[in-house]
Amino acid sequence: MFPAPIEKSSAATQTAYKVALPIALLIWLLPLIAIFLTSIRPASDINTGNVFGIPSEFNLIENYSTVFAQTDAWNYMLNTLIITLPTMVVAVALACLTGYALAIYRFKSALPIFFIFVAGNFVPFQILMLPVIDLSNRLEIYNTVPGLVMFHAAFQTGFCTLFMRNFMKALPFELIESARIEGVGEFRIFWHLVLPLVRPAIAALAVLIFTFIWNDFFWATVMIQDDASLPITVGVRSLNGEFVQQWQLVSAASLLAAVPPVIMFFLMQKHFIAGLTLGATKG
Amino acid sequence: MTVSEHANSRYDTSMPKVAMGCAAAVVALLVMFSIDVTWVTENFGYEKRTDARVPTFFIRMLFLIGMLAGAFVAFTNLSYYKRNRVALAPWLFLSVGLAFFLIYVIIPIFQSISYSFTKWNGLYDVTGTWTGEWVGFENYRILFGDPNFYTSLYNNVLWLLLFMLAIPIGLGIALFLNQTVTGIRIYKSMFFFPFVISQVVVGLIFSWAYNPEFGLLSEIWGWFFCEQKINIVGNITTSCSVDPPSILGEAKYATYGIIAAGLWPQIAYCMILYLTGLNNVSPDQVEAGRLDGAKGWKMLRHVILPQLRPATFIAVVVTVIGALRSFDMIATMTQGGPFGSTNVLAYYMFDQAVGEGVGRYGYGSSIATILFFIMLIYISYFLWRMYQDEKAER
Amino acid sequence: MYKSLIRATAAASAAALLATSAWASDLVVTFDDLNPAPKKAFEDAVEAFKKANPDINVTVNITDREAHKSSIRNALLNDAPDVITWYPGNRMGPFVDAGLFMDISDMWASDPNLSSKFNAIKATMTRDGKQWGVPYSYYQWGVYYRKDIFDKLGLAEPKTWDEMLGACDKLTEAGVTPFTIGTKYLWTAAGVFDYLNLRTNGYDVHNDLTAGKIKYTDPRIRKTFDNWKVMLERCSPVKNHATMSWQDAIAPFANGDAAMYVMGNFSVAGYKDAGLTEDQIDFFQFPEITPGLARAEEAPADAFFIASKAKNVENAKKFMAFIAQPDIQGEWNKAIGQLPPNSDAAINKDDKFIVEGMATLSTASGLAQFYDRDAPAAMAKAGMEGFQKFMLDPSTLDEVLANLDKVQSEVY
Repeated sequence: MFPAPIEKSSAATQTAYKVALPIALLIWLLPLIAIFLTSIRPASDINTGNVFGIPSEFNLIENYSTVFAQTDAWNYMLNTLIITLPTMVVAVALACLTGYALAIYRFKSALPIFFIFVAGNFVPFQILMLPVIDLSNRLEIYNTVPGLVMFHAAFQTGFCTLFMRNFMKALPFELIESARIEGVGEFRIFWHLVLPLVRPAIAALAVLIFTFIWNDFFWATVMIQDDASLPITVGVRSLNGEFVQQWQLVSAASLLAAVPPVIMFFLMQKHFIAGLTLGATKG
Repeated sequence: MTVSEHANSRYDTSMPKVAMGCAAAVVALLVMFSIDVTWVTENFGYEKRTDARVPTFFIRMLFLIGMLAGAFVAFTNLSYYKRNRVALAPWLFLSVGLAFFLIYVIIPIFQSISYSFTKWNGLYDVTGTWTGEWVGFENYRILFGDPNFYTSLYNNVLWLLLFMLAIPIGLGIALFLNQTVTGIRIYKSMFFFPFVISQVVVGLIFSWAYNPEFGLLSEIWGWFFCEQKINIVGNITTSCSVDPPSILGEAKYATYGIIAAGLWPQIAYCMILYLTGLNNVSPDQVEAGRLDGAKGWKMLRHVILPQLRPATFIAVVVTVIGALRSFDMIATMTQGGPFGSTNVLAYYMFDQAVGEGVGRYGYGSSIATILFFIMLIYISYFLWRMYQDEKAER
Repeated sequence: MYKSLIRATAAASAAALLATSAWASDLVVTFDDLNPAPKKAFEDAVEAFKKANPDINVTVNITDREAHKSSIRNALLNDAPDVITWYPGNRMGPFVDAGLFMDISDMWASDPNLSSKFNAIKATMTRDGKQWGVPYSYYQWGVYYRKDIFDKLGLAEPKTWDEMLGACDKLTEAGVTPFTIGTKYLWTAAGVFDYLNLRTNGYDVHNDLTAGKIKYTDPRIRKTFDNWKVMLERCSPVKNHATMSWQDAIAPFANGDAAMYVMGNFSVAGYKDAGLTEDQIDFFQFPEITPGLARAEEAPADAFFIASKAKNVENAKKFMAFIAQPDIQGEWNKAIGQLPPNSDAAINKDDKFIVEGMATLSTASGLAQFYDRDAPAAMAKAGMEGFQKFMLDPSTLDEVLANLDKVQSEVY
């Protein structure tokens, strides 16, 4: 293990380390802590510049309920959810199929096609923006939730395929070979043999896509104009304009927007990190 | 029936199924084409055309799926398919995902490039005819004389360079946290935390922190330089001997301010990559290194870092992509201001194409094209690396 | 292929459908303000229209103002309503040029209201010598100020440039920042520029500049910037204006740290929300700079247009004529605290800002829309960024003007 385990060093070093840990964390999360404190303050504290002090009143419930009462925050959250979940399902499902095709079958175009997915996954959004708007217009789904979901699902298929294909590549190929010799159909092999084996990958992808799409801002800005269909990221930003100089409410709304992905992360931490660090350990 | 006959019949076309599949596909296709928003509006009792768009989409989607299913049944029951199963099956698996990806991602790249040779404001006229005109390289000529373009490009370079700091800092934190004291797992998650939060929220948090009147920095600043006074109408006002820096309001600081905010989650990402990497460092080699007398910095450089190379590679890739995609933070914190000084290509493109008022689609596309080719360098490098790995594995 | 297939199959079913919808007399109107007061005023007007025309079945779409700015592009192509709100001046240009708005010059010639009661605003509704819409509301711009602070320092409403500079000096001496402004979203700076330019050079120069006929390095425009430089020095704006929105900038004004604000009349509600009373705030016209110059004002208008794809053109025209009537315009603008473009319409005499606004605009020699509505969007964006840059550092003037000339040569 590197660096050398701290247990092997002197007692003083050990204590110093244990003291340093919380302090480092405090500094690291300082902006977050400060914004949380702000979100439970009354407006008067903000005007008098009370940032770190004890709030003169604890307005946790007032501030957060104001956000829900005075704005469409609840609606925005719901919109995000109905954008996020279908995207997650479609992208992961399609990637299981494409990943399977690219990992299990040996055909000449497998690698070029795989590279198309990988390359597409990295392109800047701006190069896609205007044609995607135009396409959505022609399909008459511009400025609708399904319009946004279609794009997200298509785009995320790229990343999911990269992930799935690499994961499936590591499966024992002999298993599939022997099933084929038994005369099991290609789709049965996929459904009954491979899918159960890639469950961890599906879980990892599901959490990752959930977080990506939940946090998406660009495409929501570009593809949705209707206030009634806006997701929370865009909603929160427009709240910033609405709550003029009411930082306690802006902070509360911002923190609310961050809650679901955070919960998702803490619940599914193992899968989440497995997904993000794919490729960080092997060549 | 003999065994060989049976084996042969396995490869026969089963006509009824093929016919049914084909019929279903053709019917579904026809229905899908004949249903449009106007039709749904009128027949389902919608008052407005806009309201009928989503239901129309779902109905058409349903028939599209029906068509695909029919075609699938027909195709897989052909003798041709049955004989060449292993060669044809991957294409069936690929078809939907690949088509979807081509339509929404790959083809638009080329469309955007073609838009960049036009002057167009995004409008079609009454008959649905495109209102733009081809102007050749005119947009690029304007672009190369546009100071905002150079500002954006310069800022992109700044982003790329400074964002790289996320890698050593992430490594530093990972090394700091790579211990086994009690509760360390929680510390690791808490350090990773900023990455999970939306960039919009991070942007808002830092906008507040930088706010020269109410923010975190002004508060700290106030301890040293400011005092409270009573103004002419008897209200409390703050007066400072040295004014607090307005980080997002001054061209010389603003980009750095946004990059600093962007680094926060990016460091967390790099940290988690390195933590995973460190987990997989071979203990034998570390021991061997210790026996050779390597310690601290030397050990890190000669034993650990080489083993962390995959992690570093991924960290570089995601950091470069993150730097070039920086949009959300700029949109939340400055909208490219003051006077365009925090624009990057990604934001400038957006602003020119669909910003306030009527856009310059052609000009915006030329900016996007430049950004795409910059990104293409990294994509090619990434693909090349992947190709080397694939070759090695074979 | 795709399209022809749709058409072939749809045509058959459409024939039957047309029969059902043909005899109903419809009107679809899209309006772009969801804020309670404007929304209600619009709905009331529609109710009145329905009462006057019981045979017309009116459908109303009300959208968010910001969303409308981009959704109108589609609306005019795919979902064309009959009547739709938009801005006059150069902002209507792209839609007029693409043939998406209907020419209603005939109405302006024959309608009793449009032909004689809208003279002040007719120019902004005109493009290519034709009229394209009917304005339903506009509002004045000018200087809003803290009357209590002015009284305390014995200052009167300045009428001339020198008086204003003098007032600024006194305010600065007393520790009050003369002007508040928030330039984060840029357009507020354009308000100041427009006024300085209108007062320095007059209405024609404003129009020629926004029409791209005068360069930014023109000596006349330079003169405007010279005056602005003097204003920045003696009538300094609040610090940190580049990070503030126009609403944020109300805070120092309400707190008494700043005394004046160059703004539009919609801001009055903001002052009152911030706790200021009617006695504490007042309004004066931006003072004269070049003596004897005819006084022109900023007066952005909102208007209705008929879509070229409108299905019920006759009803749409009926609606346009209806909203041009003095009583409708009067009621509507009373409800939203703005001014009726129809010169015969009654105004709310209890609102001192409206009374002053009416006096200001009805005696003006010309009405400007606003820099970012009179100039094409791409020019306006670059121009306003230039203004902000100049405000933050006046020494960059030459660079700013040279760049604006370049943008101008590319945009027009």
